Amino acid sequence: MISKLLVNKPVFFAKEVFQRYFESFDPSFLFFKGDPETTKSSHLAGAIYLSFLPFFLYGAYKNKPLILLLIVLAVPAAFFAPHFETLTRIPFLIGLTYLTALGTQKAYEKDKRIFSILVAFLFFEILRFFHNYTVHYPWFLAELLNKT
Amino acid sequence: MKFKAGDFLVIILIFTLSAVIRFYKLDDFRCLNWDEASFGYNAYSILQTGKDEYGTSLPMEFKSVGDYKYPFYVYSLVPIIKLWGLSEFSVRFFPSLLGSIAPIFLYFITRKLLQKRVIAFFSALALAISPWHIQFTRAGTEGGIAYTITLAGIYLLLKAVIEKRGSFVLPAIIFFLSLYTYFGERVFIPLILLTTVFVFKKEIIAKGRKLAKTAILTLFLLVPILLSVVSIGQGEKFAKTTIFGYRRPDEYVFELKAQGDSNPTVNIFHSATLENGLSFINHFLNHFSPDFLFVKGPTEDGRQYIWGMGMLYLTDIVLIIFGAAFLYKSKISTKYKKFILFWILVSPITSAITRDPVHARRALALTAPLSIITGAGMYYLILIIGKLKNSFIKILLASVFAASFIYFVAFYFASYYVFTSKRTAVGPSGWQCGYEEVVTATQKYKGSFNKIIIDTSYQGPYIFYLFYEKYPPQKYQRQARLLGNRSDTLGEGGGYDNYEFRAIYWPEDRYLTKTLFIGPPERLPEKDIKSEESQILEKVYPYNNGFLFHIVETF
Repeated sequence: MISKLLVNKPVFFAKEVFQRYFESFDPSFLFFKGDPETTKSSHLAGAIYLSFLPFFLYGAYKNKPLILLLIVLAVPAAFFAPHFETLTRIPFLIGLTYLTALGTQKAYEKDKRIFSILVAFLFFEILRFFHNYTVHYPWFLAELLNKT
Repeated sequence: MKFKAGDFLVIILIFTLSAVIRFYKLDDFRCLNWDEASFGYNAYSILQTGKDEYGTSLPMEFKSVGDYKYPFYVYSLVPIIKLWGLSEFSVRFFPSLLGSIAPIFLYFITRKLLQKRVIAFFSALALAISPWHIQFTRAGTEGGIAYTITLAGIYLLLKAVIEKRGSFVLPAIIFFLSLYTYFGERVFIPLILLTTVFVFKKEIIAKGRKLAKTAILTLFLLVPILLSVVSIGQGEKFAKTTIFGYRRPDEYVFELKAQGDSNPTVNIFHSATLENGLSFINHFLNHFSPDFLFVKGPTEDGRQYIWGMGMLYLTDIVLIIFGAAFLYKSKISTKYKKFILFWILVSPITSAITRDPVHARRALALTAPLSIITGAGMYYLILIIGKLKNSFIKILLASVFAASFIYFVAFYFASYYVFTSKRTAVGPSGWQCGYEEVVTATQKYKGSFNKIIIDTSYQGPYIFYLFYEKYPPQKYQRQARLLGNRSDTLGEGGGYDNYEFRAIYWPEDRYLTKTLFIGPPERLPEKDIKSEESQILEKVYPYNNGFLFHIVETF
């Protein structure tokens, strides 16, 4: 009886929805691994660059009301079955990138040295991403094709 | 803020609640794991002989299965085992007791930082019922013990820094005690000290003379730690646990090159420093993942997670947001706010430098600052709801939140006692159930066989046999040998008397005559036990429509 009260279909469904909702904010998904499906991610990079993080945090700090927008933009992905799915998270990622851009602008105005270091790291990350995308990613895809 | 009768009442209340949660069904619910058995048996060995299981006199590090355990927990168990004997309850009593005390220290820390008794009460309450904290203070983990000691140290340190009369000597001694309890504290304590210096540098500089005494004491107490850091045991522990000791296999670089990398691109894009650095950042951030905190927890490790939830209640997310908003808006000194923020930021570093992507036990330090914010959130939420003019909305919001909170607390306890135990009872990262029963069952056959071979796939059978048989340590010390202890894996006790502990390979082992084999069904499959050469004498510990162990005799 108590078990049924605690674990039942509506509760199970709600938990599944919450899980997918929070996956949008998962650091591993955002900065390191991306979508688990090999055709949608190289698994060698996240959905966005790691160097976005400080700019995003600064942007969110300076534009607090926009965090609400981000919270809303993460909702659609919560209702799709696949975990850490990227396509349904595109609106969320755009919102995140927008806040990052705002943070980048503010960071440039505030401290040009830190800004330059982070931008240099961003360039390195872009190079690393293209290296992985052109050199290693085809191997993963080939492995995937061999398996299927 | 002076100590009042109200504080005393709160302490009694919080301690009673914490103790009831942490002591209820302490010894008969979760099976003992090999770390706990090892702590217990080594303490028993010290009690009987003054030496550890390998015969080392009063060691400052216990070799155990090659993980070189820290001494404080073992030595603190000695009087308890003397009093109540070697049992599961004895092993778990001390961590649970200290775990019950931890919220009291947090109460005083919060009272000092946020200057409000009611927030301090809510924070202590949050820690007392925190699933994360309960998880590691209901079982015999040295991390839970160490963190309570560290909390005491943090409180005394803040007192020393903030109050005019405060002394640094006592917190220094307390911190050193913690350093001898758990590996993680050797990373966390220096970080929290640096945080304190960074935040309260003016106050500390103003106390220059008082610090001289502490500095001398610190140097004196540091010597054994510095010696142990360069010891082989600690070197091994460091190499086995952290990313700094990790050496990439050569095959990894060969594979990169086979895929088209050249030497310069390997050095630029795949250097060990870069990959370890990124791995550190990834692990660090994982501890703030909502998935880990509120939804799933560390599912890879059965001893860490609670089925169906994260390390905190889902409603805590609301409280943490409200708590953060309260701290941002309140007029509390910025220094105190900074201290809490840096406490949160340094807490997962201990875990982030290890190889596991996320580790709840090593990041236990996060529970206290998160509880402070949760407590502030409870206070702020009540304040906001209380200020609403529309009483219908007021009652509705309060009821919805209260109902959700009660649901998640009820779910946690149901999951802890019913759902999780069935899912985490077995396997190397589980609770290692079945050993007590199999040791009891073995006693019937022990005298009838020249050789008894016990499979090691569920890890550490030797220590369970020693523990449950209460085998005389002086006899074991002469036979003790650790096998398979390599730089990347822990070892196994080789055997004693007629016991041999190793992996069973039935296609070959079936030809060993007049031998008793004990192992899981996958090592001793029923279909391969042929009546002309062997028979199953007993099946032990029913689990998942089968049994965890088969006891097989060969003719």
